[in-house]
Amino acid sequence: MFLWLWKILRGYVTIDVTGFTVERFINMAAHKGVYLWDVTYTPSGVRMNVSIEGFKRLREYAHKTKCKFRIRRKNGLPFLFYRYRKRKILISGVLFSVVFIYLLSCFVWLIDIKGNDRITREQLLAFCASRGLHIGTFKYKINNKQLKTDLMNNFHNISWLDIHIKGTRAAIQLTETIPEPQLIDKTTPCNIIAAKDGLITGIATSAGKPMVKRDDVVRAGDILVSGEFITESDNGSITKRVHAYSEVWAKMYNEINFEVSLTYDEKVYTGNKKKMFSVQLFGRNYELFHTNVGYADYVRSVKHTQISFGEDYPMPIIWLTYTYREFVPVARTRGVDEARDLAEKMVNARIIREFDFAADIIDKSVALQETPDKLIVKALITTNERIDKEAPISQQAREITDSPET
Amino acid sequence: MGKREKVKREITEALALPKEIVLNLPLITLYGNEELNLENYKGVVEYTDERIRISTSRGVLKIEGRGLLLKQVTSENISVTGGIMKVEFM
Repeated sequence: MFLWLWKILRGYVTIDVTGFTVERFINMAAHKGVYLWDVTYTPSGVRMNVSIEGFKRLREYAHKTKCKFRIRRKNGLPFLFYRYRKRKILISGVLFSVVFIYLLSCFVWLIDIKGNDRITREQLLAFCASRGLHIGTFKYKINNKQLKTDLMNNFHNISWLDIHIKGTRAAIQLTETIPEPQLIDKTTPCNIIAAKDGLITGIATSAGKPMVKRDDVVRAGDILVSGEFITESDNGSITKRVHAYSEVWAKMYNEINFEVSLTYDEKVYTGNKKKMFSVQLFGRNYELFHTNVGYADYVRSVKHTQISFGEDYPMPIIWLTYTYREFVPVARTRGVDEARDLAEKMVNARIIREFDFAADIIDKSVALQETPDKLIVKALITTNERIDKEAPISQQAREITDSPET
Repeated sequence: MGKREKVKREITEALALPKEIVLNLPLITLYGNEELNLENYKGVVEYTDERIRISTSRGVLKIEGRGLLLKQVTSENISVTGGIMKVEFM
């Protein structure tokens, strides 16, 4: 491969040698240091390849060994350049494209972020952009060290960070710290209030005065545990406030109501599809030969392909392929059993989606009511979950109680 | 073989020196039946696509086969490719 490249770059000549002692010609050339390759036998003589430098010396050897040679083909770049030497626009075009590609490779065209979890990609990109690293930045202008320090200072939950610019790709790799434990601010007095309606199933107070007990029914917003203690004394009442802390569990009913229709539309793909292309240059979209889709119903999917020279040289050219797939909505009906299964699945999906992860599901009862065209689903989910919520004792309320009557 | 030559050979063998350099022997490397590489040759005596004769310090090496071609020719090294059927010292 490399030998081939070298030969093409330096140029070589294919010659046909004829004469009585071609072997002598080969020997002489070889001993004088001319490199010959792919020597093949032809009925009229011998064909061989020789470099341009070697070829210039062959005349003497041919004369001495009484052989004759004819040029059969000239190969390689030097001959190509010679042939096109007068085509100035072609040459300048080639030069221009080389320079252009070189210039493009001096900018960052892709920012890769790896390892972020709690910090979003957008936050990081926005911060990098404010410190001079965005798509299209001249890559030698980026102060790697400074940017690294700035990022570390700005985002406190980064424990390790590396910025690596290779080619036109800027790779930011980071590791986040483990989440900080939530600190309970014990200095601000607060009450515990109910976050939801429910029947108290358990209350465990470590600070504050419980206002409710087991089997009490509470409404959202009711004070469960008070952070205020009022002590009666000779000088009047003295109010002492603490930061109440309590775990309160309550049972509650949640209703999920929905309907499952027995008829539905299914997307039946006709197999017809159309492709349209766009090219995104320097962040701007250019549509190429876009026509009317012409389908009544279709699904569109987009594929991004960034033009890249190898791994490390992504270019600011993104090729977008839009695929439009036609479908026809076909009315279908489902049986009652099928609808029941679907209802069950939908209930479970909604439980997972809507309920708190820590909530215990005590009971689940699903009532189904069949009508000719649909299934009415009523699900009653009984859960046991924490309802305690901190509510700071308001400043105003404190001021009133802080000034005991004199 | 002269006495001088004999001493040279014994020293070479005792010290495990490369023979092709010290004794100027031709070194033949054969890759299956498709490529033959010959170092330390003197010159090509005959070249056709079915028979190649190359002179070396130990006589003429005759290579017979089909569609033989000289892949590379330099002053120290010659390599023959093609369907090699017979390699013979004459």
